[in-house]
This record gives sequence, structure tokens and C-alpha cells, in this order.
Amino acid sequence: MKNKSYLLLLLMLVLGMALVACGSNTEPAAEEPAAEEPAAEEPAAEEPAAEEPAAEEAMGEKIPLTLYYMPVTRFYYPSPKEIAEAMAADLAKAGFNVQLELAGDWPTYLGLRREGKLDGLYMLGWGGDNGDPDNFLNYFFGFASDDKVGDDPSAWVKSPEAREGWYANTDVAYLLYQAAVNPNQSERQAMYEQVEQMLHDDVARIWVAHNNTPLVFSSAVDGYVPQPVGADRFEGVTVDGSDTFIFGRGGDSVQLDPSVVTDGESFRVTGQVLEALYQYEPGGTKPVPDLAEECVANEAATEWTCTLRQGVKFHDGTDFNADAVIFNYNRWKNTNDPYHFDSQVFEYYEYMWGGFDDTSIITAVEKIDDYTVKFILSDSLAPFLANLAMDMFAISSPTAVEAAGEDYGLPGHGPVGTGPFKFVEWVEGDHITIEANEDYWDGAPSINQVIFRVIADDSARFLALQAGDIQGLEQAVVEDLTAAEAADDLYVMTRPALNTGYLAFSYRIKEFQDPRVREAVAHAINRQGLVENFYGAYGEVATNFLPPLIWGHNDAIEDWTYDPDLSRQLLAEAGFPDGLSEVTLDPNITPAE
Amino acid sequence: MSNYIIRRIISVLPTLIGVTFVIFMFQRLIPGDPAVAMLGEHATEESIERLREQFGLNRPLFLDREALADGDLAGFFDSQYVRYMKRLFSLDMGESIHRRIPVAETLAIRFPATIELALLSMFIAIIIGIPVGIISAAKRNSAIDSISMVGSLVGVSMPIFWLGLMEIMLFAVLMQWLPAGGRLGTGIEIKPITNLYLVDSLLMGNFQAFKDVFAHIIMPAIALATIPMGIIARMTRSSMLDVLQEDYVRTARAKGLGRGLVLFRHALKNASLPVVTIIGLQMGTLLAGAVLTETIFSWPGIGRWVYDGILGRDYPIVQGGTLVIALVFVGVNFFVDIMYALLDPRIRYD
Repeated sequence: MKNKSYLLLLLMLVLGMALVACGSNTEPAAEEPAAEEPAAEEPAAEEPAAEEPAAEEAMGEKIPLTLYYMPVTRFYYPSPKEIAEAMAADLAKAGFNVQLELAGDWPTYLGLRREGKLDGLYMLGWGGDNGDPDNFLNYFFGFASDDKVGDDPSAWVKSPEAREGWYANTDVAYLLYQAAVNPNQSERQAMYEQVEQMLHDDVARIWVAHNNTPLVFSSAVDGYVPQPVGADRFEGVTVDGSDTFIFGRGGDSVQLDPSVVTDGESFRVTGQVLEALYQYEPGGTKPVPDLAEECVANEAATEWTCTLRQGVKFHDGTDFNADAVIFNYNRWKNTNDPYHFDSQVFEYYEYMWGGFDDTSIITAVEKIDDYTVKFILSDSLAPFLANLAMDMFAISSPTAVEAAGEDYGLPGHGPVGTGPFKFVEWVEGDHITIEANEDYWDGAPSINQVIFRVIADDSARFLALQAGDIQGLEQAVVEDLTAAEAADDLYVMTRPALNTGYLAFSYRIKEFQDPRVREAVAHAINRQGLVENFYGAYGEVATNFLPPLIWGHNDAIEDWTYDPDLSRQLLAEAGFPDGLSEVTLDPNITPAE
Repeated sequence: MSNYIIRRIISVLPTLIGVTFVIFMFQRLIPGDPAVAMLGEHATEESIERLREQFGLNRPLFLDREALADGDLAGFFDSQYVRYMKRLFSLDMGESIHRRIPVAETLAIRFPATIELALLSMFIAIIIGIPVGIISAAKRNSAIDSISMVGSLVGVSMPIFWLGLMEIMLFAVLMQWLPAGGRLGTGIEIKPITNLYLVDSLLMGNFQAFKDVFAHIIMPAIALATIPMGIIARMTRSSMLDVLQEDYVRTARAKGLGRGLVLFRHALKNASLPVVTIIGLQMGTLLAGAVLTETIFSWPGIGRWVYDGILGRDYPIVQGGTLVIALVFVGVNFFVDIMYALLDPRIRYD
């Protein structure tokens, strides 16, 4: 009898497979069924327009006013759902009746954002990459490459960008372009302050909060330097009674070749092993020399000549020199370089330097002599040194890259650089060990060994610190931080904020195209209350997109007050005396299918 | 019997193919793209497209009708699923999208970690659960019965993450007896033979390492054991109670056999069929459900790995991990069926 049931099962399986195979075959979007399938989250946006009466189509489709919240925790939004609920409650007091919506998990959320399909208000944020204002503002509000039509930048027009909620402000984009190519620091600063003022006046977005990151240590630990930008510094760490420092973190590194990754957990490790030509000053964002002794620009800031540090050796014993620098930059830049593998994405190179090959702002890196290189740029690039100092542009030993090939930076082939620590081992999902480089050019580090351990659960990680299994950690729940501040054998240190959480408008919503409605939203949300309730001692209300730490932050901006009455009044002036619970999609703006 | 075994083994194959199909389809029904998940927030369309092509994600899922319309038969079959199955039949599970490490390689380390934990948990659950069930049945409605049944209910209902954190708080933080997590202490080396560290350390004759491994595994094993322990205890009790009411038990007692003898020799064997079934099912649940325990105790097993794989849309990891879990599930069921025949002579598979 049992046999028969198995035969039956088999038959059903085969039939089922055949059925589903045929079914999937008939899908029109055979290229990418998962992403292209009408998303259940957004029935309104996806409905075929043909079924609508023509008149209504011209008016625009009505949808409920929605607030999309992030499915994951980020520095800038420590508990997104709860914060969204609080925002919704605030908005309700001012007459906005918003529905909360979780659009899917993180890749889904980012995907919908990219396609401009988060129709309503949505939460997101930004963490700076290089401490330069350009890196905050230009990415969001600058010209896209398609906007740069013709040779005269003042004639370029910013077109609504799906990724940025269809926002477009040509004046802002032009000013950002000018600031990006102007080598004069004080002029740049004035331009960014002006951009902040313009964005504020336009209520382009609502800046919610900056969050400083707490780190917790055992009191035996000393000398840890948190960096607002770039990897934290471990070389000065000492641990009473131990030559090993064990640091607990929530996730594993993706890969240890910094040029092909984008996650902080990878840079945290590679930053100890590899060095770039410049680095950020300890605890700050100013670029200072590292493997270069100095880099000097020509007048137009289109050529930078870098004198390299002499006598520095990679961990494999080979020399650091001009050839090594050129090898690395060529590998990142040239897609036909033998070590620029198809399976690798040099995303940060493309993003910071404008593209690969001919589109790269760096057109060539020339060797002047063994210890001098010249960077030739296609255009002046004001944040050049800030870019140079990024963890992703750290110099690897060419010999090591050649030997490991595509596997360079994977667990079997750790990174080989010039830094204060050498790679020892990587047990995937468990720990990474590095040890002191006794021959480090700037003096051997104070600690002999550092182990980065993965403990995914926040509470378990804190308990491991209390138990003495680890001596330092990042990311803890608020209750544990309070306990740590009270404990004798633990202390809390903060990394200054280089992040901003914001609330964005989709300008595809007709009502949000009216600045009075946007301002009404701004006055409706009690951001001070949000910070007190959800960020604790470590957060601060954002008045600019740029955190106060970065130059270009405009202190003169008069922040929106929390004033629900004013909010209602503005809403009434805009033609919604009874509040807003349903909004209209602009039929002229259509996301790509 | 041997006929039956052969037939069963053959029938496993279509089941597994069905599993690959279902997993393949369902994870691609979740919106989101591995390339986007991997590249993050400022990737360009070109980078995403290039990565899709690299991993064959730009191919249709099952069959390419457009290619067929063009008369390209090879193109018709050149789909993600067919490519995956082709590789699978040559025993290649592909490599992780994010780290490009062969899935089989990671499985070889992580799967034994999960198995080791699950086996020890099951061992704990059985050696405590079955005796508790027997005693409860023998002393039905006594105080012992009530206490153990309430205890097993608590065991079944207690959230694992809470129990895990309490264990760590008590044994690692307050008493400092055991490490708070991980699989092996710093500086302890184990030569991987089976990758079951308890076994490997014994094979090496390294008792220092064995002690360390045991100290690491015992807390997660207990946390993971509570649910099956409770279920086994309750199942043993109810099954024993059924059997104890049978005529032959009364006859055995009437002809003067001792209470213990009747309980263990006559009743237990017959009561064990449902218990064996439940143990088999629980074994599968332990393997699949170890995610929470593995997270709390930073245990480098497949539960957490597959979970992260789902979040990162790392399809090969999810496919490889679930396929192995399915394989074990099928294997355990098979083993349970064989056990039936051994335990109950009336069951024959011919």
C-alpha cells in the first residue's frame, strides 16, 4: 500500500511540474518574472490604465495617502516601524490620514524606490562615504548623466529622477555641479550652505535625525579610535592582561577585497590590513596623507602629483611603489584589465570616479619616477583627496592580486596590504583574525592580535561582552546601552554621525507638488519627540541633509517648528480644509514597467 | 524487505527533483533581485545587468518561449532551472553569489555543525523525554505525572530565543561557567575529519578540545532540545497509557510478572511506534528550525546560513541548503519506516 502512495505522489509531482512549467512559460515577462510580476504591494500603481474611464485617467488615479517604512534597521532609523507609527500619529493630529505600508524586504524596498514606485511618503536615509558634502548632496540632487546634454552646464536641465521620488531642481543641481568642480574650499562651503537653504525653502524633503553610533567596550580596553568616515582604528588598542582584542559585530564581511564590496563590515577589516594614498584624520573627516607623502594639484585641479612614501613593504615582502599604485588604479578603472574580473563589480570606483574606461574622471595614472605618480583628470574634481582616502581605494599588493586572481579577498586568500595588521584567517560566518605587522612603517600596533567575531543577535552580543567572551562591540539595544553606562566594567563611546534619516515625498503625488502641503507635513511631525523616544542620548534632530560634522552644514537654517495648527492652516490654504487621506497620482509621471 | 528498500531509494529521486523545483520557483516568486541585493544602494543599471548576466539571472526561469519561436531549440531549454539541474546532476551545487565560495564547500563545514547540534539535542530529548513519559504513564494522575506534564508543556511552549538568552545570562555572564556562544574557543585547533567537533576531538585524543567543544555545544543543545523533549514525553505517556489498557498487559500482570518487567518488556516496545514516528519528524524540525538557536548562540550551522541567503537573495545557497535538509528529512522518514518493521513484526514491506 505504501508503494502505491509513493507512485501516486510521484505522478502528482510530475504533473504539477508540467503544469507549473507551462504556466510560467506563458508569462509575458519571461526575462525577470520575480521582479516584473505585478507587485501585490502596489495594486493601484500597476492596474492597467486601459480599464479606467478616459476622463478619470486624465485626472489621475486616486490612491490612499501612504507612508512607506523601511523593513530594516539602519543607524539613521533605529526602529523604523515604531518611528513610522509615531509619525503617522503626529500627522493624524494635523489632518493627514496616512496608511502605513511595509513594501517588502530590503532589496524589494530599494528596488521600488529605484523605480520611483513608493507612491507617497517614504523613509530612507544616507550614510556618507568620504566626508565630503558632494557625496551627500550631489548623489541625490545633482544632474544625472542623461541630463548633461551639450557643453554648457548652465543650460542643463534636471529631469525628475525616479530614484529620488521624481524630484527635480535645476538650480540646486547646477550649484552642486559648480561646487563639485571648484577647488576653492571656502567658495565650495558657501555653495553647499546655499544648497541646503534652497532645499529647505523648497521643503524638498524632511530631514529627521542624525544618529551617533554607540560602541561598548570592556573597561580593560583603551585606545580605540572611532572614525566618522573610513574604518575605525584598531592599531592603538590595548587590552589589560591580554594581547588579543576580540570585537563583536552583527554580520560577517562580504569579501576582503575592498574595491569590490560596499558593506561596512568588510571595510572594518580591510581598513586595518590595507592603506590608501590618503586617510582621514583620526576621529575626523579631513583627508591627510597616508601612503602618499603629499598630493599637489595644478591650478585647474585637473592634475594631481603624488609623492609616495619610500621604504614601505607589503605584507608579502614586495615593495610599495609607483607601479603598485598604477597596477591598482588600472585594475579598478579598465574593464579590459586582466584582473578586472567579470564576476567582480567595482561599484565604488564607478560611483566615485564617474565610471570606467573612457567615462572615468581619472583618465590616466602616470609614473613620473619610482615614487611619484600623476593622476590626470578629465575635469576638475574638488573632492579628489577625500575620494583618494576611501577604504575602497586602498592599495593591494600586485603580486598577491596576480596570484589569487578572482579569489583575491575571499576566505582562502586574504588581503595583502601595507597596513598595521596582517590577515591571518577567515572562518566564514564565525570570525576573522588579523595580527600585528611588526614592520609597520608607522610603528607596530599596540595589540598583537584582533579577532572580529560575528554574533548576529544584539542581545546575545551584549551578553557575550558581559561574559568576557568579547571586549568590544557595535550595535546594542537601548536597554543594554543604559545598562552599559551604569556598569563599572563597561563603557560607551560614540562614533560621530555621518548619517541622516529623512522622509521623502513622491512628487508623483499631485498634492505633494504643492509646497504648502509639503510644509504642512514638515510642521506636523514632532521630530524632537522622535529623537527623544527612539534615538535616546545618541541622536539629534536634523535641520540639514549634511550632518553638523561636515563643513557645508548650514547653521543659519531656521528649522520647521512642530506646530499641528499651522499645519492644518497650510493644508486648508492648499485647498484641503478637511485634511488629506486620499491623493492623486500624476498621470504625466509613469514609472518604467 | 530489500526489495522495498531499493524501491524506496529509487522513489527518493523524484521527490528530491520535486523539491528542487518547488524551492527554485518559490524563492524567485519573492520580489527582489540578487544583483540589487548584492550591489546595494548606488549601483548603476549597467553593473546590475552585468552581474545578472554573470550569474545567468537574465535567462528565463524555466523555458524560453521566445527562443522557441525563433526556432532555437537549445535556447528554449537554456533556462535558469535547466542550467541549475544540469550542474546538480554533475554534483555541482554552484557557488554563492556574494562570496563565490562553492556551496558544497560551505555545506561540508556548516552541515555537520547543525547535525552535531541536532543529534545532541535529540539525544538529550530522548534520554529525558522517554523516561519522563514512562514514569508519568506508570504513575498516572500522581503528583509526578502532573509536574512532568506541566513541565513538558512549558518545554514545548517556551520561546527558544528567550530560553537561550536566559541560559547565557545565567551560565556565561553570572556564573562564568560556559562561553556565551560560538562553536570553538580561541586558540583551540581541531583537525577536521568528520567536522563533527565532538567526534573529531575524541578521534584526535585531544580531551582539552573535547571539553571546549562540549562547553560550547551544551547550552544551544539544551535550548534546542526543550521542544522535542516535551513532545516526546507527552507522546510516550499517551502511547504507554493506551498500551497499558490492553488485555495482554493485564494478563501478564495476572500471571504474576513484575510491574517493571511488564512496563519495559511488554508495554514499551509496543508503545514505541508512535514515539519513533514523532522522533523522526522532530529530527527534521530540529534541522530546519535551528535558525533561532544558531542565531542566539552564534552557531555556524546551515539554518542561519540559509536564512542569510534568503535575505541576500543568494539563490545557490538557499537551493543547496534546503536540498540537503530535504534529503535528511527523506532519509529520516525512510529510517523510521524501517524501524517500524523492526519494532513491530506485524509490519512487512513486501
